[in-house]
Amino acid sequence: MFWGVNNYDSDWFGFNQDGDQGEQIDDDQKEQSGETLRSKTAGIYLIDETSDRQQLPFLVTLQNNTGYWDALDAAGIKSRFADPDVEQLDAKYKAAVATVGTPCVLFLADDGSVIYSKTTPPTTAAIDDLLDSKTKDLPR
Amino acid sequence: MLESEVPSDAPHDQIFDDGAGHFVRTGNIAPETKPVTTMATIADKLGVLTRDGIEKILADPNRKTARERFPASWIKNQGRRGSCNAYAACAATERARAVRRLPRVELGPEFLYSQINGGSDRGSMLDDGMRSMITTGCPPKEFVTYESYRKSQQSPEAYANASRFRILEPYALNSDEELATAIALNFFCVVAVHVANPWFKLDSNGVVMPTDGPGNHAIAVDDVRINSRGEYEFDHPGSWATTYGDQGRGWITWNRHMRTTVRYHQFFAIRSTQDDPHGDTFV
Repeated sequence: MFWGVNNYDSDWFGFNQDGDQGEQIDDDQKEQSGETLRSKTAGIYLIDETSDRQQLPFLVTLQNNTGYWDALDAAGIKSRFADPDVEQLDAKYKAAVATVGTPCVLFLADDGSVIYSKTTPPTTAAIDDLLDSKTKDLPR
Repeated sequence: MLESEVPSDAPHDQIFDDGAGHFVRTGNIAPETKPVTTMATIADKLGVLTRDGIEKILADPNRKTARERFPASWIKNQGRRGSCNAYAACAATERARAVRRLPRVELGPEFLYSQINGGSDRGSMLDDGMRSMITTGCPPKEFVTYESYRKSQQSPEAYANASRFRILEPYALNSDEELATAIALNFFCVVAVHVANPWFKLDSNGVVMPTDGPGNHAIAVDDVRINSRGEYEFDHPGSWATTYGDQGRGWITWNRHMRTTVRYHQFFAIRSTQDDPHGDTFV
């Protein structure tokens, strides 16, 4: 089970759940109880080594679900995909990527700071589960 | 455009009637031997996807086809110039930005063409366009004069803004399995084809009629499908406006259109783009 969601074909995707390399959340954010990650998130950054995609095709499936990302955008949560080799990727995002590994998803506050980072979940439903989590309940 | 306006005395730089009464020009120089590349290939770096794996990606109901995602408003027109390489590279780069959900920016391919044509409007080579997009980049079209082709015609503003739009080191590709894998994984590709008169006729499935030769034209490839015979077909946005093909597009296959050209040209897949430091601010 991955974030309460098990609706992907793990054999086909070849996703190694044991490859979940950890996550981080800012201590100040953690202490604010009751708020969901969705209410605090202004942007979602999905970062993957492009060479990951052949082994983890769910990354392509996530990218291709433009309707999901457009709906988030309309709700005030922007999204973007990047390779960690992008020169202009901000140092604080590169630091988060270095901690979590790739592929990873970064949830950003409206000042651009990283609220939470996590190995990229395999489905948009799992991302929604994360967004709807209370920040105090998010696993480290 | 009058045919007499365009100088053309080289096999790579030819003029055709697109069947709709418009003259169109090629411009892709075929070297005597294929350039040696240090780029990693799709097969070496990623491995190719199986046909079943590609079918599953294509069958995803949330996946939009390139024709849905990049409709006629994305089709370019290289006009009177032999700038197909630059137009193909810019078309692929713009799409790579779109997949990253970056704002749409129309690039000015004439700038790129001026960097790789040796100072005259007599065509260019595929890998030169690729290298220039990595190192120099290409500015938005508002900084570039349409149909310009000399470096001296490019403004200081064009040079100043070119590096904002560059690509990461691409992957090389040499087979239809690699091309299909690249497209399925959301990479946009630039390949060479050999345009002759049949190129302007599409069959009932929208597939370009067969043409063969060393490759006199560069195109972007932005989609793949599998036909009833299990063969990959690749969608390409042309650079001859929407009067060409089906709203500017046509499907091609490896055996009909690329099996010879790949022996002369290094096809490549754009895996990602750099960010525009001035315009791609996120949150």
